[in-house]
Amino acid sequence: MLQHLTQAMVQAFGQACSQWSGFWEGSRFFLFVLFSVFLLIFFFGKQEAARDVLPWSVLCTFLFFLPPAALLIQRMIGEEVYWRVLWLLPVTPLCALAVTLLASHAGRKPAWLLLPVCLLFLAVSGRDALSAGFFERMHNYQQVPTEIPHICNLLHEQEAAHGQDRVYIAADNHIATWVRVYDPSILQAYGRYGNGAVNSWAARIYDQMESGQPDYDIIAENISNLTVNFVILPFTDSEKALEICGYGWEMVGHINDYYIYYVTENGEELIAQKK
Amino acid sequence: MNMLMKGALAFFWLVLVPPALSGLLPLDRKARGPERFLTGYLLVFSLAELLTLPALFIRFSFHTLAGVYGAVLLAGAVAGLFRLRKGFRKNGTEADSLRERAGSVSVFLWIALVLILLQIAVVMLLGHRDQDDAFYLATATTTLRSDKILRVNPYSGYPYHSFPKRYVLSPFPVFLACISWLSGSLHPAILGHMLLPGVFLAMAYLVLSLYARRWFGEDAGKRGIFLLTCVFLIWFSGNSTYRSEVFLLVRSWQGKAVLAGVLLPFLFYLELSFFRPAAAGNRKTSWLLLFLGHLSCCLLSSMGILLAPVMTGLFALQALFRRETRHLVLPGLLSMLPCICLGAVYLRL
Repeated sequence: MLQHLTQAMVQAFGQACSQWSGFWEGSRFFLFVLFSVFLLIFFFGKQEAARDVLPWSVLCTFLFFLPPAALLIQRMIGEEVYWRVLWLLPVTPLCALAVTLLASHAGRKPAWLLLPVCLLFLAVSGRDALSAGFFERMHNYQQVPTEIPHICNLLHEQEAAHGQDRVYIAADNHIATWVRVYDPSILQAYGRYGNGAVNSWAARIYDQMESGQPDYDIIAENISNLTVNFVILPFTDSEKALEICGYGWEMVGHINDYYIYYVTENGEELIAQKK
Repeated sequence: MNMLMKGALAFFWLVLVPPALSGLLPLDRKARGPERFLTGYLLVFSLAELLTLPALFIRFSFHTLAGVYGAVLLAGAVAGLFRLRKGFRKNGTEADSLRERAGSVSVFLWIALVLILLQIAVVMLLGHRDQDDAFYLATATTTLRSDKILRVNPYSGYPYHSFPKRYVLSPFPVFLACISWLSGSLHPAILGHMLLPGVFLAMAYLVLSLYARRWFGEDAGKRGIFLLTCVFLIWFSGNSTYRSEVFLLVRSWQGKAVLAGVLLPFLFYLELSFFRPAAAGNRKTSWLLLFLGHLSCCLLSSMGILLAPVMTGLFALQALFRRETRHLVLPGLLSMLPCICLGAVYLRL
């Protein structure tokens, strides 16, 4: 029992080390953090502000690596997200405090040089959120991918045109991720990454869709087992998109590379004939 | 109801109600705008958690929950305003002190303010595609549509096969749905992607301004340098996918981002004010605010149920080693009660 516990703690410690280095991602920003801690300890250690953050930061870091604590927390929240414990470290106030104390104690004129140098280092050692590709222009207020509102509108038009009482779709991962964010009236056989799959047929459809080389015979067979009335598939080749109609699916429109099919009632028959 | 009207309602609930609510809380007489706004949000989040969990387990309809929540917020805001009015009559208005302070703002602070406003504009007007929206935002839209609280799977639109125990104690998406409903059924995706990022980013900077006030007092120059450095630290965090600054910038409509970027830093400030009041001119924080802080962390994320008491526990440990703060250990630990109770429920579910 003790041996097993020791082994588990060693493993937890290893996980903590790997997630610590993963958290900083080898960036120069970590050097800036170390520089800030160095300044606060050796030059400004007697300031009350430094005493607010330093003991806490040391204690928190110690806890992060302490094997029994690491093991307990990893068991509670999961190993893969243990790095979130580092959210407890007041990195931004600590670094900003160090820069402020450095700039303000250097005197008025040196401060006008030191502050830009520190800020420039931050800019160079980091990456601004725009060039990191975090943001993009969106073309709707909901800020979902552009094709989603168009697809949803088309689905509702076709729902009315075919006298259906609901829209129930099977789609690829991209569409399945965003459709219900925009329009929760649309039902899905499964969501993002196949989550919430309504049954094993739905799970099989998702697996085929995301397999890289989907077998449309299997997809069609499982679609016919569900009561899905629309299928949304991505095709770069419009001829291939038309071939799919042989499964008893009526192509009702396409938005960008996405083709929307209405599943007709004779689909099952056509699939049986194909076999 | 047109979009402008819905936006105005959202502004009312997100920006005007919280500071009014702060009138109900035992704040220091010298508490200023940032502190009032943030502590008001502690009440907003705490009330959401206290009302949503019973409504969920008793199976109230969503619109009942949202209606009751709105009524409670409104009543609290009105009562808070009355109390604030009395306080202003006694001590002079916030506007008088604002005029005094406006003249002492440093150039660094002005630069920081401009950059902060630019950042807020970017996060509101540009979009970030995060696939976790398939759960979190879809839960909000599904709640609004189905009128059921966490009974319908957001991925499929069908009822859950089994209770989503990982998320049920931290129903932040339901809070989002409530604000949407109270804003004339403003689409939760518009609320989450356009309005909340601006509000929560502003709150993060308000927390940092509290640190600046604590550490540098009335020295506007130092406070300006501090905030300007924070602006750069947050904006140039783009080379990390793990830091709280990045979460705050790009995913602030998700509970864990608000936890990491706003609530945990604010809780840290409250803990400092509670356990180390002497360092800030003996302005002490009430135990109640710590308690509400823990309850708010529980709403935002299941991570909050764990991280908030870890923070308080470490502060209590530090306090234990000083004679002058030893008496604060027990009240500090008691403030963790919401997290302890919900943690126990989480383990049993």
